Amino acid sequence: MRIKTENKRSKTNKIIATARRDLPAWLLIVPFLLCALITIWLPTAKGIIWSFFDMNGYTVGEFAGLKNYIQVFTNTDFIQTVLNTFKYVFWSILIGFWLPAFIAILLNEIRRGSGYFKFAIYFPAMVPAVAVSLLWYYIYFPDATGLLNMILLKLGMESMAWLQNANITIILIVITSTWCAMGSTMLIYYSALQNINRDLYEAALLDGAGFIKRIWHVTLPQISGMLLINFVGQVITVFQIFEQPLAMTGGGPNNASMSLGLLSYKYAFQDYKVGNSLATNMIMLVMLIIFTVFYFSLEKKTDNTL
Amino acid sequence: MKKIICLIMALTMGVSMAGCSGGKTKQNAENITITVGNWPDKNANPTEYENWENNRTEFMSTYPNITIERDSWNFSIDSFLPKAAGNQLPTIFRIPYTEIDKVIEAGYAADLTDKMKEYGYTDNLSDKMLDILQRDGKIYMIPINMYAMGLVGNRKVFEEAGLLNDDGTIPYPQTLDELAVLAGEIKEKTGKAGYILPTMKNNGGWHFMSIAWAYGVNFMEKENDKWVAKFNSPEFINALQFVYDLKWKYNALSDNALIDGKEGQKMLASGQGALYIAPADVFGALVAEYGMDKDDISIGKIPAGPNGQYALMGGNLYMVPKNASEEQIDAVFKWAELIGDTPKSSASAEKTVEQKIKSDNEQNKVVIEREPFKIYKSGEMNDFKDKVRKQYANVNSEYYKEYFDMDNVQIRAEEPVNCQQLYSILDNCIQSILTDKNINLNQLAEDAANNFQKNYLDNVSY
Repeated sequence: MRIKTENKRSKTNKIIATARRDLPAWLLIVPFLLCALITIWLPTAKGIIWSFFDMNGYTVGEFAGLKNYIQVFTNTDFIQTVLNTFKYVFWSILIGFWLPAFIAILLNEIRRGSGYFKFAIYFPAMVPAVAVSLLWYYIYFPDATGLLNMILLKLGMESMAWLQNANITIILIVITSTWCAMGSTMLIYYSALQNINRDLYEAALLDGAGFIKRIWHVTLPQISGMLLINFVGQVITVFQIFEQPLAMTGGGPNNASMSLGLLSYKYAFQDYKVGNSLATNMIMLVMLIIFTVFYFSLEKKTDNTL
Repeated sequence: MKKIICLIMALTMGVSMAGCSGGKTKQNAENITITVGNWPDKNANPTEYENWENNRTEFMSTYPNITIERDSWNFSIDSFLPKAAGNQLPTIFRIPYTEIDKVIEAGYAADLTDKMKEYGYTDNLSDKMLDILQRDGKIYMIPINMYAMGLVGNRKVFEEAGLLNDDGTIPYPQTLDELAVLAGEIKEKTGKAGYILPTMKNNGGWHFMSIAWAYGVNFMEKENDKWVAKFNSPEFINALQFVYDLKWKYNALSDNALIDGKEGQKMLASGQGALYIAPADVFGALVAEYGMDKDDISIGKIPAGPNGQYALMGGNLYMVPKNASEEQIDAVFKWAELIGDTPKSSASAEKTVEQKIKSDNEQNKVVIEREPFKIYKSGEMNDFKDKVRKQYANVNSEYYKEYFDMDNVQIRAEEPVNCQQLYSILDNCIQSILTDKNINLNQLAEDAANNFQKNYLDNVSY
C-alpha cells in the first residue's frame, strides 16, 4: 500500500516536473496554435463540412450529401485534370527534385566562386511571381519574337508553338516553376551538406572512393532525411499547383494544363460554385493523405528491413 | 418618499429602455448610411475624384439624413465572392452585364423590382431591355449603359496595309467570308493579325457568340422543364469551320493561340492587330490603358453570316447587395438619379453628366456624338446626353457611322443559362482549332455539346 502511494506520488511529481519543464515551450507555442486553429484547422474543418452542403456563394444551404462530389467526379474534364495533376508531379520530381540536390552537391565541391554560384542560382527565387510569368511568357512566345523561337530561327530551324503544344505544356510550366523554386531548395540541401562530418569523406578517400562513390556512400545517406522531407513536400506542393498554369495558359490549350488546384479555383472564383470547389479540395486532400501515409509507411518498412 | 424614488427609477429605466430599443430603430430610419463603390482614386484620377466628391457633398446637403461612405472597390470576379461573404460589399456597385447571373444565382443581389416600378423606370425601359434585365420576373439591377458588340478596327494598321478608303474610313466587311479574306490580306501585307480572336478566360466564347448566331447556331432549349444543349449541329460545325479557315486557310490570326480579352485589347491598341470584336465601351481602355490614339479607332458592325447579322448585347449596371435595407435601396436610387444614371433629369444630374463627358473630352478619351444604345424610351436625360455629347464629341463621326447603322442587326442578350460556362467550353473549342490543324470538327462539336450538357445543364434546376 505504502509502495503504491509512493509510486503515485513520484508519478505526480514527474508530471509536475515535466509540466514545469515544458511550460515555457507550451506558452511560446500557444500563439502559433491559436493562429493555426483560426487560419488553418477551422477553415479546413468548415470546408470538409460545407463540401456536403448546397452552397449559395459562401452561404450554407441544405445538406446535399455527396451531390457536390458526384458533380465533380462526373465532370467530363475531371479524369483529364487528375491525370494532368499527376503529370505535373511526375515531371516536377523528374526535373525539379534531383536538380537542386545535384547542384548543391556540385557547389559543395567547389572551393572558389561558390558564393557567386549560390547567388546566381538563388536569384530567381527573389524575382516577383508576376515578373517571372511575364519573363517566361516571352521566352515561350509562339511567334518569331519569342526568345526560344529566335534561337531556333537563328539556327535555321522552324519556330515552335511551345506552351500551345498540348504535349509539352506541362513540362514547360514545370521548368518555369523549377527555375523559381530551385534556389531555395538548393540552399537547404547545401546547408545539410555543410553539416556532414568531413572525416567521413576523408575516410572514404583513404578507402579509394572517387567522386561518384563518395556521393553514393557518404553524401546521399547523410542527406537522405532531407531528401525524404523535400520529396514529400514537393509532391504536396506540386499536387496543388495553380498559379503558374493560371498565369501562363489559363489551363489550356483545351484543358491540357488544367490542374486540380486550378479546377478548384475556377469552380470557386469563375463559376461561383463553392460547393464543387470545396469537394475538389477534399478530393485533393484525401489523395495527398493517402500518398503521405503510404510513403511514410514504406519508408518505415525499408528502415526496419535495413 | 420611497414610492416617489421607485417611480422615478421606474420612469428612468422605462425611458432609457425605450431609448435602447426604439431609439436605434428611429436612428436607422432617419439616418442612413450607404457605401458607394467604384470611388475614383485621388491620385490616379484627380478630375473624376473631384467630381465624385462634389456629387457626394451635394447629395449629403440635399439629403442630410443620408451619409455616403466611399469605397474604391471595383467589381472583379476574383474579389467579389470573399467580399460578399464578409458582408463588405458596397451598397451600390457597378458590374458588367456578363457577370450578373453569377451574383444573382449566388444569392447576393437585392431585388429592385418594386423600387424600379416606384421610380417609374420599368415602364420606361426601351424594347428588349425589360427582357434583358428580368430574371424570373424580377429586376436586380439599375442599367447604366448598354451596347451591342461591334467590329473595332485600328485605322493605322489598315493604312499600313494600304487598305483604307480614300476618306480615311475602314472598308468594313459585310459578310464573315469577306472578313476572313480581308483579315488574311492584312496579315499577308503587314505581318500583323488581320483579326484578333481571343481564346481564354471565357473571352473567346463571349466574342464567338455573334459569329455563331450568324451561322444559325441554337445553343440550348428548354424541353419538359429541362435545358438541353442543341449545338451539336451543322450550323455550329460551320461556325467552327469559319474559325478553322481564319487560322489555317487565310492565316489571318496571331501566332499566339492563348489570348484573353485584355491581351486582345492590347494587341489592337498597339497595332499588332487590325480588327477585333468588342463592346462599344472598349475605347476608354484602348486609349487610357494602352495608349492608342483615339483618331485611329473605328467601329463597324459584326459582319453577316448565312443566318443574318447578330450582335451580342452587353453593358454596365448597378447592383445592390441583398442585405441592404429598404431605406438604403431608396438612397441608392436617389444617388443614381443625382449622378445622371436614370432617365430623370435634374440640375445636379445634368451637371454631373456634363462634367463627365467634358472631362472625357479634356482627357482625350473618345466622346462619340451619340450613345450606342438608349436604355429608356423617353426622359429628359436622353435628350440632354445627346445634346452634351454633340457639344463635346471629339472624333470623326464617319469612323463610327457603320456601327450606328444597326437596322439589319439583330441584337441579342446572352444565352439564358450557364452562359459563362458555355463560353469556357467554346474557349476550349477555339483553342483546339488554333493548335491542331488536323482537328476533327464534327467530333469537337459533339464533345462540346455533350460536355456542356453533362457538366452544366444537367445540374440546372430552373
